[in-house]
Formats: sequence, C-alpha cells, structure tokens
Amino acid sequence: MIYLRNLLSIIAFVFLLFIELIINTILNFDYFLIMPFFIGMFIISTRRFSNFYISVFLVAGIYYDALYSSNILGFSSAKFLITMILMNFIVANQQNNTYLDLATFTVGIFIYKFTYSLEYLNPEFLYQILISSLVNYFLFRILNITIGKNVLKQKI
Amino acid sequence: MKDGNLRVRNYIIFVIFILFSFSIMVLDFFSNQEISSTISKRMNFLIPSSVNFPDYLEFFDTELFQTRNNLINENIRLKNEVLELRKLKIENDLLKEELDANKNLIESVDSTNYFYIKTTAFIKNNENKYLVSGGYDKNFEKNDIVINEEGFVVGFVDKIFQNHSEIIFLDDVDFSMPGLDRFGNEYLIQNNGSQLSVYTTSVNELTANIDFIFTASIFDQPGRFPIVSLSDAKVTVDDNKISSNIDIEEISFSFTDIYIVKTNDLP
Repeated sequence: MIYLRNLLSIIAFVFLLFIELIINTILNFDYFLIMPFFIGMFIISTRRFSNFYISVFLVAGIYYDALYSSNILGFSSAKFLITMILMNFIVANQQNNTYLDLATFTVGIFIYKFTYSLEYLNPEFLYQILISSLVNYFLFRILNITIGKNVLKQKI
Repeated sequence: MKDGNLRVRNYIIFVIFILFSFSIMVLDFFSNQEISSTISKRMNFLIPSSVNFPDYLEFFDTELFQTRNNLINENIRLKNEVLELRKLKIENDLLKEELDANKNLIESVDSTNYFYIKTTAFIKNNENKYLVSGGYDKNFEKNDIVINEEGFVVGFVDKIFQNHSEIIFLDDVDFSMPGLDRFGNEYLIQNNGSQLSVYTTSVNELTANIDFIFTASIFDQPGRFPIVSLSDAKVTVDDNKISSNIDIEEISFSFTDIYIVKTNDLP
C-alpha cells in the first residue's frame, strides 16, 4: 500500500512538473511564472514534511534533468531537496505568520529557479522571481483556503 | 521534544539523499553526461514532442461558422483580407527588388548541399530554453544551426534527446556563435542579456560597410547562412577592431516555423 501511494505521489508530482512547463510555455508571461509544482513542494515542505516525499522529488528531479534540460543528472533532485529542507527549517523555527510564509516562499523560489547561468544574476530575472513569488503565494493561499474548507465537516 | 527529534532525523535522511543526488551529478559529470544521455536516448514516451503550439489553442469549432451572422462576418473578414493581400502584393514587389539587390548573398548559399528539417518549439524548460521536436530519431547533432523561414540563423542545437532537442536561440543569454563577413573578417556574436554584441576576433579588412555576418565552413558550420544584418545597425571601427550592438528587442522570429540545416552527404 505504501509503495502504491509512493508511486501515485511520484506520478502526480511528475505530472504537476510537466503541467508547470506547459503552462509557462503557452502563457509565456514576461514578468512572472505560474508554478504549480513549486506550490506543491511548498505545501509538502511546510505542512506535510516527511521522508516519504524524498523519493517523489528525487524522481521528479531526475525526470526533469533527463528529459527537459541540459543539466547534469541529479542537479534538479538536489535542488528540490535543498529547497524543501530549507523552507521547512525556516518555517519550523519561527512562529507561523503570513509574512514569514511569504518570505519563505520567496527564498524557496529563489533556490528553486537557480541555474548555473549568467541569467540568474540578471536584474530582470530577479524581478521576475519577486513577482512570481507574490502571484504564486496568492495562488497557494487560495488553494490552502479551498483545501482547508471541508464541507463534510461544516456545521449546518 | 519528540517532534524535534523526528524533524532532525528527517533532515539527516534528506541530507543523505541530497548527497546521493550530488554523487549522481559527479558520476554524470565525469562520464561526460553518459548516464543522462543513455536515459534520454531510450525514453521517448514521456514527452509529447509531436504537439504543436497551434494544437493547444484550437478551441474553436468550425460549426460556429454555420450561422448567417457568422457568414456575414466571414464575408467582411474576407473583404478585409483581399485588401490586406493587395497591400502585401505591393510589399512583395518591394521585397523582390530588395532580393535582387542581395543576389550576391543568395547565390553564395548553395542550397543543393543542404536539406532542411522542419521543427517546432513545443515546451520551454525552467532555464528558459526551448525544446523542439526531433532529436536522435532525426539525426540531429550538437551545434546544428537552426534557421527561420527567411533563412536567417536563429539558434543552434545544444542538447539532443531521443525525440526532442534543446535549442539555444538568439535571445538566450548563452547564445554565442562565430561568423564571417564578405571581407573575410571573423566575428563572435554573443548575447549579453540585453543586446547582441558583434565584434571581430580576426580582421582582414577594416571597414564599416558590413551588411551581413554569415555562418562559414571554417567554423564547421553549413556555409553562408546570414546570422545578423548590420545594414541598419551602428558599426564602430576602432584600432584593428570592428564592433556593433543590436538590441534583443529588435530581433523577432516565430518559434513554430524553424528548420534544422543538415548537410546532404548523399552523392
């Protein structure tokens, strides 16, 4: 059962990563990116942090490196795991509030988008990361509120 | 306390797997990316490279045009289209004249020695690089040049996968390509983020009268495809150096109609 759950999680996150690439290719916004995969990663690392998800992000990273980029194999896996551990460390050691959440989200995106290219230090790229943080954090909050509202548990 | 211990244990296991990822990176790096190449050569079922951009956007059903109002609108649209075509005919005549003026350039490209594989960008990765359809299955090679419909070089092949390839386009910050002008001066064309910087690496004749920078066989490229036009750009001639800058915003091309140039080895 655990293996099946693990496999389903891997498929779900790989699909989410693929969706993220497709969305950003079609919409092609200059100022921000839509990052459903990163939102998923943020939820896991700050709300449901567990060893169970290591294999999920390891496989997702290998999938991305092997099929979508010229990165060295394992680069994205390491990046995803470092992002997760860092985001969890910031949130776990502070009192929970929206500003801290947003700051953690921005730091997470900054590491998540790291590339060994000159573009990483380009001011336009940094600007894009900041705008993306705000937009995606807003999407995360909407998702969080929606998930949090369990209609079956609501009192009539 | 128990939660704290559990978290520390989780961190340790995460760090072990991060080190595991780094060891894969080291292995892949020292095997000259042999591991990632093997995976990408064998896997072609996880990526829909046959999908084109227009396919994503086909929301409209042709049935919509059946109603009378739509037919009237279609008629008006066609009328406008005819007017537009007339304008295009005039523009076409002007371009033909320009083409005749550039005959020297056109004749220098021997089209019989090359064949062109049509490809299209279908996905943009997290590093802002486009992936195009066709890879090992279509015999693409690293540094194969990519041209647009007008024959201008718009990029080159960087990494090849089984049925798709990563392209570095002119507007990518990693773009760097050597070129030659008609006087035999050698150039390096580099993207510096906001501009395309063109400067000489070897000078044969100092002149500002440069029209195009071409690909050349001396750089192991298919011969004489124009990379950039300096006709409208400001060319600076200093001591033994010719240079120019072109704004990236001025460069525009379609990602859907591009071609990979391959040398025809057959007799």
